[in-house]
Amino acid sequence: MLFCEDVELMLQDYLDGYLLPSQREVLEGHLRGCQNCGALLGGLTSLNGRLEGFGDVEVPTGLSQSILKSLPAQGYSPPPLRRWLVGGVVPVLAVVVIAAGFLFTGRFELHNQVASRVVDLFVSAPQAASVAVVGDFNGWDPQRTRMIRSNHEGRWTARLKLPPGVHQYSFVIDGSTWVPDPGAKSTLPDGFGGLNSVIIIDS
Amino acid sequence: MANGRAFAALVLVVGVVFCASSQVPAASRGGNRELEKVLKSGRFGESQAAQIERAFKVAVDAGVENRDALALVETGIDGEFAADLVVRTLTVAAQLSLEGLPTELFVSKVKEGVSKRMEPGRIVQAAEFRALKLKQASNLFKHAVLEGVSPRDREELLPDIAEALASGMDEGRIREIFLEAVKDGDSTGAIRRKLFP
Repeated sequence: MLFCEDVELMLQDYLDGYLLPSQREVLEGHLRGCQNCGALLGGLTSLNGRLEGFGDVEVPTGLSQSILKSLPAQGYSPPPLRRWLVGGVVPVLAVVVIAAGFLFTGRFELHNQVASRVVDLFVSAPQAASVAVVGDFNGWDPQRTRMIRSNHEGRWTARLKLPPGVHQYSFVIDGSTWVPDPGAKSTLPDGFGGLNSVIIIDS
Repeated sequence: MANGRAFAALVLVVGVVFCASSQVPAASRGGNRELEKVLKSGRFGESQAAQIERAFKVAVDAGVENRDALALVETGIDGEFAADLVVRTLTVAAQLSLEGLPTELFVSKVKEGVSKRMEPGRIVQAAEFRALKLKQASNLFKHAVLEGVSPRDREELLPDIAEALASGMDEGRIREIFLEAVKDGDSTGAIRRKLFP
């Protein structure tokens, strides 16, 4: 079962060819029956077509040289008001904004831009009406990462972006049954009498 | 001249605001408003709420991230923890922070327990067990650094060592893994794969 909001998130990946065959199949099934999503796909496809229609522009040889030659010999000097704005007001405004942010949030947050990896998870649950993947990466919240039923045999899939490290996770079937991933290489006792699956993402 | 004076005045005002803001503990600014909102959603009496507020402030002053401390209170409310259990989780987080240990594993275990609808006492016990293992992991890592493991990997590896210990791996095996890592030049990923075979 796929909802329109899920489709909206998946459409660009669909057009870019990033979906798994099973996900594509489910998505196309939804598109066949949903006029709104079909129209959205049509809009995106035509936008893509128009963007591709622009084509590449060849830069004429010697363009940079001719620009450099046409510049005045003396260095460019902005008018005094602009100099004052750039040299004084802009940095001060930047400081004010940072200080205000600090004042309102109580801290600066500098997020590390660590390279995440895309991971595909699968589980077979033919009788399930819903399956979610939960783990330390989504606060163990079953509402946050719903899996998509990808075929009639009851195979459910989810694509995650995980940062490097060791992640523990589990599947939640129909909101109440927790099962470890049968395909996981490693499991750990969860401290509550059950098991969590382990996935290691290399940096 | 007038421009120069205006500029100096502006810098002075910004400086004063900036210094003043850094003197006020986070818990008594935005954090407290959010905490009040969270506490209102719970069913704590006035004195219990005050107890939690005090523990929250102590935790934030000890270096626990505001969002982690708030998450502990929110999760405690979701899991129907008694006020003293919420205070206990905040106190453990404060202790970890004071010892320079990461709090994420502890907070995550509390969230996991609530999500799995475990009994509150059992959740706190499981999370405290992880906190204990973090301390043990920290001692092990100190020895590993003396053997040649890079101290830069501490923050990344401590929760993993703690989980390996919690799952029953013995200290001797972990020491061996570190010795092998130094000898073979293992990456962090290779160490992790040995911790979770």
